[in-house]
Amino acid sequence: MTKELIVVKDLHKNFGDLEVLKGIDQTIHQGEVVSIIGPSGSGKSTFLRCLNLLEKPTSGQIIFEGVDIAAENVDIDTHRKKIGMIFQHFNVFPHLTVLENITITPILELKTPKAEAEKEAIELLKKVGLEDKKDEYPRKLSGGQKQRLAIVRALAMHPDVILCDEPTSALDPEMVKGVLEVIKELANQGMTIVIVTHEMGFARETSDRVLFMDEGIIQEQGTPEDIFEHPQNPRTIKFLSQVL
Amino acid sequence: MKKGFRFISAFLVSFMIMMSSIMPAFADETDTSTTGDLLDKIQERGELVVGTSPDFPPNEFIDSTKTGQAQYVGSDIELAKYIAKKMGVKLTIKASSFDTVLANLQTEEIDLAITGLAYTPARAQQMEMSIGYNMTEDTGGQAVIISKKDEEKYKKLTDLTGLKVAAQQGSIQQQYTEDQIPDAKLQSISSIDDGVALLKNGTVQAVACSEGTADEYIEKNSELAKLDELFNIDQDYAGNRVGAPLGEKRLMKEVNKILKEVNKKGLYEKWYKAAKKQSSEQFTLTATGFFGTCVQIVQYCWPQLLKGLGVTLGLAAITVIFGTIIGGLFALVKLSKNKIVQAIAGVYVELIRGTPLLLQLWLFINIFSYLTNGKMPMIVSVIIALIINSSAYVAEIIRSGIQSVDKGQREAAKSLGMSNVHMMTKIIIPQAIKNILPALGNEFVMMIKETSLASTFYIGELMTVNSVIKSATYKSIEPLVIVGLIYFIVTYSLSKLIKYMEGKLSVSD
Repeated sequence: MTKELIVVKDLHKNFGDLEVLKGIDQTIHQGEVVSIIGPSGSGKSTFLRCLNLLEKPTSGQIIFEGVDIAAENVDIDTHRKKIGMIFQHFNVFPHLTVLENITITPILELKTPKAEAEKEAIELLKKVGLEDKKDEYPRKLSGGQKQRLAIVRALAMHPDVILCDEPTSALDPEMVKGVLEVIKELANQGMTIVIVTHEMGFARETSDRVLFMDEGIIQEQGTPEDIFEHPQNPRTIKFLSQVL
Repeated sequence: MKKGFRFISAFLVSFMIMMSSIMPAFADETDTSTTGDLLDKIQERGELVVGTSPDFPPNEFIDSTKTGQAQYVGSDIELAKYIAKKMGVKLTIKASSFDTVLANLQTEEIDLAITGLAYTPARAQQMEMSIGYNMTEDTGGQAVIISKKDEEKYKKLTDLTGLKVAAQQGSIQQQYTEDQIPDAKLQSISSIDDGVALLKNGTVQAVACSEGTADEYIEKNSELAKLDELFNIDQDYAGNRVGAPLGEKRLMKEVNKILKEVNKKGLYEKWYKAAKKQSSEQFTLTATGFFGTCVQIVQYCWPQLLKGLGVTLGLAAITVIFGTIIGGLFALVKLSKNKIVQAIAGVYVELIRGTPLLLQLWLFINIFSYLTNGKMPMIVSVIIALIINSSAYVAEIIRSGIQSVDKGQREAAKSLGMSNVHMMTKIIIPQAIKNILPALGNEFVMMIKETSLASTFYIGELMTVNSVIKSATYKSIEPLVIVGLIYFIVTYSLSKLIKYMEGKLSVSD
């Protein structure tokens, strides 16, 4: 078995009186592509956002590369540099050009020389077909282009894992394919990816493992074949019958 | 609900703490005033502070060609100089509106009030009053101004029976009006200018004022006339008085000694004549129509108007710049996680936003004056009060500007591993500026108008210039229209400019 990258132990998260995550144990290995599926409100996004502490767990451990980042007095910024995140609404920086969107964090936080950061950014833009947009502001980009920019922006930090929070949910249907292809390409190159998605086709084709979440716990997990062909849990069966 | 209650109680507690730190100030003052040691204090500091309301030529008015202490001229100012000289101390004139002079006397902001003050029984209860000066027939008379068109109709005081008569609040003329015009309907005014304006527009039929003032107005306004019959002067009420804080009997004794000498030598009458000459020389309007008068005022007074506008813009700019710095700090504190400093900042902002600016000006001027023993210059107190006021509004502008930035931006920056400082300076604030800048511009425009409240304290901004021109020209509507136009042109064009820049800024969305 490959190296354990993220180990989650007994993760709980409450929003006020509402218990959203009710005890999650999970291990993500290096190079693994893990899809998280489940009905809305099941806690998928919250679980994902706990992995880089955008949501602070109420209790439990999140051990990333051997360090419990959920503990007090951890310099979370250092660890976040190694955890990329792709958002549903892209969250590109509207006041910066495409190129600046990518280079700002490496220059500020990794002290990468500007010229080097820009060279690398252009290389990455080429791969996603956005090279000619490098001096544009994001308002000139389509949704799909914005999301590809967001992916490149995350990659420029050389993360060890990328978390994708419904990356295609806010896209027009014709844009979905392009973005998924970029993610697929990353998976093929060996990037560790944890993705919350409603794209069942993608989860089936690309994932090494699928987690089915409902009511704040992982109800069932396994290979895509296990989950999609032979689901065991009645909730999984019901969910799949509704979405497929 | 519970949170709201906690907030209100925090608010009240802090307000009470604030008040209790001020109250001893007033308590102290009553204590010292009963011992009457102000004379010693004056001698100790080598300075006599005299309050006056320089809108009453020729007794006290502003020579607009001069600045600083030298701009205050008139026969009362000469008297003040004389008293200071006799006491062997330096004179400082503190100019403010008439009501403010009286209030300042009670709080011992000033040592003496010399401002054409007449005796009334009510006033005698609130202050020490000197013997009379300015007692002679031709300067000490009390008259009634009426419209020229009524000249034939109204000859005697009894002809005014049951009519509306304007008189300054709490003045001797008010007393005379009540006593000598049967069933007069009294209209309180804060300055004779206001009364004349009311007379011109027909709201009142007569204005009671001193004869000297009446003569000045009639000379310069062809549509005005003087009632033939003068008020019958009660010797007890005759002449003008010098006021001192209640209980300062020793100081009053000293002043009376000097006044006796002034009366004996007929000094005041000399000063009065000279002041009258100076007042009529400084400005002569020849135009008759409304527009002609306006044009002429602008021709004569444009340097003062420009200077007043400069002070107004300067005040507004200083206020908004420092208000932004302090307001920015408060905004960051309000956005911070520390509940205690957050609560303090919240109470500060709500207190300032929930009380009128004029009240704050009064309050802070009194506090600073108490803390510095009256040494804080008025303009500095006013500026600090304005800054404190503005900072509360700016704090809200900045806070809401920062919060208006999509929270996804914060999450994206954090998820990339950006430090808090970089996130604020490179991502959040550059985007918030777009919302903050136009709002700050509007705050500046607001402040241009709000600074007019500070004219109560004669600090030379546009509205003060209005009073100066008013008292120099004996015209009340024209200066208001001119100054109003200047305010409007400046604020309107600034607002348009801000709108334009707002449009430019939003292009990057």
